[in-house]
Amino acid sequence: MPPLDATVKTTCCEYCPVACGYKVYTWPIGSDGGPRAHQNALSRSFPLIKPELGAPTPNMHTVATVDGAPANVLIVPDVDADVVNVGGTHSVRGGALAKKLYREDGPTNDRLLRPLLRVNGVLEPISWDLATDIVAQVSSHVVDTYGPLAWGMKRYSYGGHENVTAITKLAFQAIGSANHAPHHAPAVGDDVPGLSDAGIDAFSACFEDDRRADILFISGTDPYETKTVRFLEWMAAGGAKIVYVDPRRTFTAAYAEREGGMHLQLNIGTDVALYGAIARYIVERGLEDSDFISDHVATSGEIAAESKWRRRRFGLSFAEFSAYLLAEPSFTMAAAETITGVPAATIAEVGELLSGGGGGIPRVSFLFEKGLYWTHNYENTAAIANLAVLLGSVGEPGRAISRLGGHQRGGQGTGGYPLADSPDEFEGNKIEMDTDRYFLQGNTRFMWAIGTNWIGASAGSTAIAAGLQRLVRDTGPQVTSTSSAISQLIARVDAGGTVLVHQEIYSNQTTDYADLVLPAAAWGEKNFSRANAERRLRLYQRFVDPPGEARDDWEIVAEVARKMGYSGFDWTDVNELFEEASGYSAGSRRDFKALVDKAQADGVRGHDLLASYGTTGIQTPINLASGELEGTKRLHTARTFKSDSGKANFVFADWPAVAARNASLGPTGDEVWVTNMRVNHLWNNLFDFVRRPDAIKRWPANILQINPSDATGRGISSGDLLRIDSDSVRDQLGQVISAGFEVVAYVTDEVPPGLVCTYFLYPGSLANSVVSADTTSQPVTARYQFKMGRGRITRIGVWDGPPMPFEPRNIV
Amino acid sequence: MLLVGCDSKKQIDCNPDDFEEIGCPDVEIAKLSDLVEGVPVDFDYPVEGLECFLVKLGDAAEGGVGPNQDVVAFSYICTHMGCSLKGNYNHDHKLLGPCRCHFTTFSLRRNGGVILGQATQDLVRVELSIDGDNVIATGLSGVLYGEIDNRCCNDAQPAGNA
Repeated sequence: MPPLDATVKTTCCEYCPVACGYKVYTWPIGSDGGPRAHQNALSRSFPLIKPELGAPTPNMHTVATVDGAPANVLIVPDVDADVVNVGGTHSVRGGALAKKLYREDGPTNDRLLRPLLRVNGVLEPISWDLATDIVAQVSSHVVDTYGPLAWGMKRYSYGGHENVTAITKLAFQAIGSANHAPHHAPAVGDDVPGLSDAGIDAFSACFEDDRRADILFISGTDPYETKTVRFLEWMAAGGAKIVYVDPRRTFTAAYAEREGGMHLQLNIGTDVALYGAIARYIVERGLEDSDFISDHVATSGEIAAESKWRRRRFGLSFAEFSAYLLAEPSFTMAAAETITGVPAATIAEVGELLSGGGGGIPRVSFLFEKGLYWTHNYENTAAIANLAVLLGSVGEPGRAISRLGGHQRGGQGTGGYPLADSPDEFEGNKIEMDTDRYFLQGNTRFMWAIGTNWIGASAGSTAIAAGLQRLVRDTGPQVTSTSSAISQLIARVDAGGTVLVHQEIYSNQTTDYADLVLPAAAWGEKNFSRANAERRLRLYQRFVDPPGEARDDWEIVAEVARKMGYSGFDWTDVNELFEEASGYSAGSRRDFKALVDKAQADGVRGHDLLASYGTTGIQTPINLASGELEGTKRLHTARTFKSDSGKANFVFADWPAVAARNASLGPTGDEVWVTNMRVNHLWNNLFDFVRRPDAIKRWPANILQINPSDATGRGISSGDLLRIDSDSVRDQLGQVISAGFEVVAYVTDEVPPGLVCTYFLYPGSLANSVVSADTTSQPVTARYQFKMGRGRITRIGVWDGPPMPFEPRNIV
Repeated sequence: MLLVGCDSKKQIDCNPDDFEEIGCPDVEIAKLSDLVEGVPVDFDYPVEGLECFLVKLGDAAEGGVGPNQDVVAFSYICTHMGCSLKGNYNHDHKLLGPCRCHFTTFSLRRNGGVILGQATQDLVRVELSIDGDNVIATGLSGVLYGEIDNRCCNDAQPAGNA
């Protein structure tokens, strides 16, 4: 129980893009407050009369090191929050944030604490000075001798605006390397290109739009599982009818049907046909938003004059779009039913529902995530954008199209990606380069991986691991002493091998190949800024000490940059980086320059001004009006769009190309589709959750959802140990390889026959290993089709680890 | 049975020194022979206002008592944010839930473990013992939401006299 004089700081949850607000109380050991409201900093009297909000539960408390001494730490949802998690709601993930903090006597005690150099195969502690010398000197050799493209980075996308600015300043502005990839793809660039080419921003909506909508059209994500508090407080609370598009009958599917909505249980990869058929239904009957289209959708002439090649290439006027819909035979109701598995009558019902059937268009919001765009990246995002443009679903309360988000948005960089240096192109136009292919071709002599498990996160996972073995271990010398490290690593580079540096908080599979390991500071141990999926920017405050010699990422990058002789990396305080980052944000969705301008005018630090906004934060773009800062609730309210003409447009979603890919990727013989998912209780590659007892108790092993008919036919029951194998995985070079992983069977009707579903990043069980990794199959943007793996199922025994529950999870 | 001085509806300091009895009371809840499979028996424990239930699951369960190890008892208070799960017993799957507030569902076969939902604590189990045909509540397996020590009912301390 925190005493009245406990230190209180605000922060947000580390995990999902809803980013609930939290208050953190720290106080010395042995000085607890009392149970009455006047005795404790929570201002609550205990016992509470239930269900009053604000009770800390045991997993909200820990003991950690604060300013050098052990202290109590209590991380509670902010009951005073007036945004996001109003009144202090929280999910299972945020409800135990305290369990992620470092302590020597608990499961988090294997944090990386010191720089480590692999000497004779074993990681040995070294000084920071030697560590950054190694990085700087090897890097300089690589850049000077082989050029910037030989120097690569594979890094988290959203480790805070400050860190990403420091990282990209080195990679893009100082070194000028296009060999740069985020954690989730082999190339930088647009994850939702079809939506962008329609002229619409990926995060234009606000949470309030979920409440204002009459209909929520949700595709490729279960928001109860993965955007939990947004589902509870904003979607469910608003009472909209939910049209839920997913091959699986998940919790939200069942909820949607219970509440009078619909589950469109489409065959995987057929979104373009489904949305095409819905759009055709609407257009055939003249039910589109004709005012919006005539006022705000570009003509073919305007599209042809656009400076962006992709918009010129794929943009369509309404006339062109209509013509395509009516000409494409797969978009008839009968054909769409056969292709998608969604009955024609249901498709018609959806067309009526979304358009209002002629009685006025309702407020429809289209919300989507990776089930949509990690199948067919360009075409699916184009197809759903087309529905939104058709119905004017943009820029008004309850009328929106938006990503729901996977991560929080902390990725402001410097810009300046050297696109001209990319070796990759589409129809003569440069596109961001596929760095995984480039690495496997032997071109990347130095790779700096930051905050990601490169192997597990990639499609064709085993190819990445094999490449690391070949280029890091089996080519050129290994380090045999600290004094010879630099010369040996340079000799490796000159022999055509790769030097791998891994900057992380915990070891993972990629660390097993690293020559050098750099310990990073984590959430709670540093001040940083990040926004949530409604562009709400907050300061995440530091409240505990980083363990050992761990440093914030920007400090490491800056020291290396200075040693390489670059100027502009002299920050002494992370706030200086925040203020510099604001300049790069100007004019973008993330624009927070006005906040920093005002801070500087008022003589305060930018971080401190942002901190004063607590868990409320302020939505970007931020403007200064009459000396006061104003956030932006939603984008496109003036119905102006991200194009030269200022208008939106339709986008060509090539169904025949998609159909060909489905045929090429699809299971044959006794194979099934092997797709993957997140679950509510876990976060990503479990870097925290494998160390959280309640999470690992629930999920002690990776599981495979399998339909009862598929299970019975193979003699499989829940709790059986299975192998998933594929002999037809295409690696990044287009070569056919074999791969597989082990899972525990979870028999459930959540998945249809012919499709199994596993957790996407369970340590040691590589779901992505059976996903083909040849991005030439999707030539417009280099993105992996993570959802479209395939494989055979073999029962190999019975899970004999800790007991696992196999009860259904889609009961409403 | 109430511990003297403990009242779930009043905000008072629960100082063990003030009370005649310390620890969880033993309370007879039901007769084994009266239990109908799948029909919860509601009761308050350890004090009035803290709602619990007993049920014969029909399947052997962790911590289950009775000849078939299928009699279990739990608090109705959701460990997420304190909503009542009364009325949400699911006999088909031996679950309690989904909670009407945030849809947490607990397994009654597996010690109240979370199947799906937002709680980071297992559902609080009521410890049971059998005396002949009597099913007796003897303690709680964890701290209830919003409580400090379950109204002086710290099951690390010996049970008080009836």
